[in-house]
Amino acid sequence: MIIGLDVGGTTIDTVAIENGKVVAFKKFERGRSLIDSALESLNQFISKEMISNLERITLSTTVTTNAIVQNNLDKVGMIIENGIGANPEFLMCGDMNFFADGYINNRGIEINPVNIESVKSALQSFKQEGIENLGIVGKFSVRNPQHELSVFKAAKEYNFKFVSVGYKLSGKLNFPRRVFSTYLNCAVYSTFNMFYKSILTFSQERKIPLEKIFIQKPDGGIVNLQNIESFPIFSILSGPAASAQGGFVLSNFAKNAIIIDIGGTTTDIAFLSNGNLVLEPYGAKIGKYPTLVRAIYSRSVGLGAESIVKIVDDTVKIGPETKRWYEKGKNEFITFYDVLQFSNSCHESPINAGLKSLSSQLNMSQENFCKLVISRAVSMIEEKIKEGIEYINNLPVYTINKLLYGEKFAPQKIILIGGPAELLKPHLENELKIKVEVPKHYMVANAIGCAIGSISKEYNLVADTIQGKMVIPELNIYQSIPADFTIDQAKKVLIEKVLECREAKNQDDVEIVDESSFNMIRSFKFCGRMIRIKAQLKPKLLNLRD
Amino acid sequence: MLKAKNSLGLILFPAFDWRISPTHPEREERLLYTIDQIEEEGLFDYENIKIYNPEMIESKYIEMTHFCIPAISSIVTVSHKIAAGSAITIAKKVLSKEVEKGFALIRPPGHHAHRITYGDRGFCIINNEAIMVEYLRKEYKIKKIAIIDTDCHHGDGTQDIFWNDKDVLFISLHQDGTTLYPGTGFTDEMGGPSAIGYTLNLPLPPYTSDEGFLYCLDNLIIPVLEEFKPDIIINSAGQDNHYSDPLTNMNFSAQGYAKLTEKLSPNISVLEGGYSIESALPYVNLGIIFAFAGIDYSNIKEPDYNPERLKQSQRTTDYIKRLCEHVYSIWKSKEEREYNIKMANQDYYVRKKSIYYDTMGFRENQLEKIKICKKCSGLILIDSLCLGYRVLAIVIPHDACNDCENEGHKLFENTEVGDYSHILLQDKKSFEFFRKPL
Ligand SMILES: [Zn+2]
Ligand SMILES: [Zn+2]
Repeated sequence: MIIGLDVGGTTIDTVAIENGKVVAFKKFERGRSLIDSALESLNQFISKEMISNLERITLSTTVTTNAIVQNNLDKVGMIIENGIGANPEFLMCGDMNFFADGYINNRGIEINPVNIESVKSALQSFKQEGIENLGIVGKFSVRNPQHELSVFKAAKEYNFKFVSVGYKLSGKLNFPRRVFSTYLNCAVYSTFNMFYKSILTFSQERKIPLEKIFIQKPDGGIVNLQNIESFPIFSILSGPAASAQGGFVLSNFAKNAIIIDIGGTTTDIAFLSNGNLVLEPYGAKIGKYPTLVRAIYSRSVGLGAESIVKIVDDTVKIGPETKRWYEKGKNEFITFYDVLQFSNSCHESPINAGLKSLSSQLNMSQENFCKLVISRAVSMIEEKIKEGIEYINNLPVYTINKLLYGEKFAPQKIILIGGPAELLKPHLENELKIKVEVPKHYMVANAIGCAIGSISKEYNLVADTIQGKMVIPELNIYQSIPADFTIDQAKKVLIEKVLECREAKNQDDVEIVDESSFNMIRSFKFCGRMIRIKAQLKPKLLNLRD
Repeated sequence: MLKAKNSLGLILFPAFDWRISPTHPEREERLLYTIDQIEEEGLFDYENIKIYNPEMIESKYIEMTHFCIPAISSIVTVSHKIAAGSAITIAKKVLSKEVEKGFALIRPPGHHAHRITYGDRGFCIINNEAIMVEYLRKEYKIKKIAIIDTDCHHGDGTQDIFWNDKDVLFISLHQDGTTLYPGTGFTDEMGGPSAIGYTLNLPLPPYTSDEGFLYCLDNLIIPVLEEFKPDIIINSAGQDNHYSDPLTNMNFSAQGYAKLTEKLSPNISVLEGGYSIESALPYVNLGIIFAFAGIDYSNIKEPDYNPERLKQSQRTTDYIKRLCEHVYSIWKSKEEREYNIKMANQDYYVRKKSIYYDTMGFRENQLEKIKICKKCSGLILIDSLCLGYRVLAIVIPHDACNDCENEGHKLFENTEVGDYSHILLQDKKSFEFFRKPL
């Protein structure tokens, strides 16, 4: 039995899956306290029988995202080794920031050492100001984390509550994002900890071992609650990931498609290219911060079932304001859902008066008014789809082969999920002239996506035979290699290491997605190779049988 | 997200899967560390710095710029077509005002490619900026163009193509031709009979530092540009003046390149040479990009930067001062010089040229004749011998008068193939290309 729970903007969706079949699902209304209502819903949903053959529970929650958006954050001290580049002022995201000297270059070679004495006095002053969370980030630290690690070591004697080093968050290059990710990772620590403790209590009360509780990550993968303790930031933005993943599975693993999830307040659009969900090239943007947190690329429109339809300056406006659950019963608002319903049935309904008044303001029949509203909504969605397709097709390529022969993304269909999917389907199909599928269980696709989430990860190996060094930042591997190390060896080593670290069960689960080897020439002579390999775990998603 | 002061379009196309030979300085690794530095700097995250993928160039634009012998298909590789296409792509983005400025970081370079090209010279086969100029004139009707070549090597190919073209002001700063390939670019090379003074060369002594380059900019290039009033400024941005470059002997730094870019403020830059791929390019390119975008670049310094060690000698400073004065006097006296040349050469202005293809080890001999015409810049006829080919190349300039245009077409039609392997006509006025035998 697998249980998925997705906390959305208006509802909490739960689902139970057994032997590839959805055996139970329920939508709960979301209360004011997010954690409390999530756990309450889970408590109500889970029966004793479910627990007895429980494989795992996966939660997708917005607690940490909300903390960031609402600026409910811990105080953080940042040690930043900014090296050569932009003026570092814009990186001062912490409550206290110290710019350390020292520089590691793009090949991971130490150019200037870090001055630990000055770092120590900064740490001292952080403590004096009552700062308990510490972020440590250096430029090019994923090529060589020595400086981050020596600061980390120095920080031990100051007993910070939570310390995060930048290189562990991602193997990708992008220093500002590394700084912001590390900062946020520290800043959401207390919020996440509170959430963690609530779940701990819940798991003890219901006698569910903690190893069976997972969190949905923004890249669609899942991670065990215990393993995420040092990376609370990985619990952000899981909502769009759950819906993308759910749409993907319910589509029977379509190759090239668009997944549209129309919810209560927003519509999220994700893209499936060549059988993979398209990811953000560097990572998610959270609040005002671009980060290195691996995430599914999605576009969002402030348009949902509960979006209020208004007339502003003689034109129709839909959303982004919504009629929230606690406002139910007030009939003066017309929502997008009302319009969809009227348009599909044309029945007299309690909303008729409101609709009549709106349509008469534009001198239109109710039918035509509804058509106008829907076509406006569809074009809002269409605009974001176009934006996404253009974005994906214009991602930079660095080789002639990819430039000339790289496949262009051309979606073949739309997978439409979320509450009003059935009602919206004919309109989307007519106006966009593309096949639209509404899969079974479209109402709880998010919870399904959350339940069946797989472990997905990316690994970057960089080997430099002049230095005789190899790094795989994601696995925390920094080791020596012989001078005659080759690209084939590198590929083998990377797969071996992933298996050794038990991130995959067998080598077929690891896929090499990018590889290159550069001859390094110094003084007109060959003197070594720069090898770069990128691998990923092939997502293994459960096949639903109904 | 971050925002730069000026919007900037970038093409970053390192062509990681293309090389001339395994140890050639113009190789796959060339832009690797630059891309690393740019990625680590988070440049992709500035909302008004846009990265574009290049397009492939249409053969038409190559034909309207070069005579490729024996044919485009046999000497121009895919990577050259992409490099030239990049220049077109970035020009489109700037001219359509999608971005204010554009910088194409591409390889291979192009500024040693002459009007007639038999293959690779100084890692160039076709001239990226020259092709861009033809494109700008054809598609955007741009008239006055300035090309400032800041590569350490003399931009002899670009000079050759616009030699007799008054609408294109070409200024090249480079290490003195007596000490560096291609051995040309002296102050007495100042343009053909109808464009005297529109080619200006500043041969600089070895070990010129930031100070010297910026002096030329302040005291010659900027004043000349102010007088010429170009519609667009293009920078052939070679980065081999850097103090760590293995092929040259200059003392320019990343700070110097950034300041030069800021002062010159070109609309479009296209990367040329630069072979210190690890110690210079990441920092120089970042400095240029920051200067373009109006981002503070004061923290971009090479790890081993030491301005004291790079200081130029007093002799160099004095020499550069005299050089700028001399070149400025050429610019000032251009009308008078043109008059004198046209008086001395009544029908045709004739030049003998010998062009060495360093990478391939052969020599081309040319006889170039430029018609002295009162109504236009004059028909150009070139007789070229190389590799057993004999080529008659006819160029009808874009400003051609009816007489010159008719004369060019008649000559093309009436010349028997006979001894020639190629008879070619580039009609820039009607943007048409003709060849014999077919
Ligand atoms: Zn050069
Ligand atoms: Zn004429």
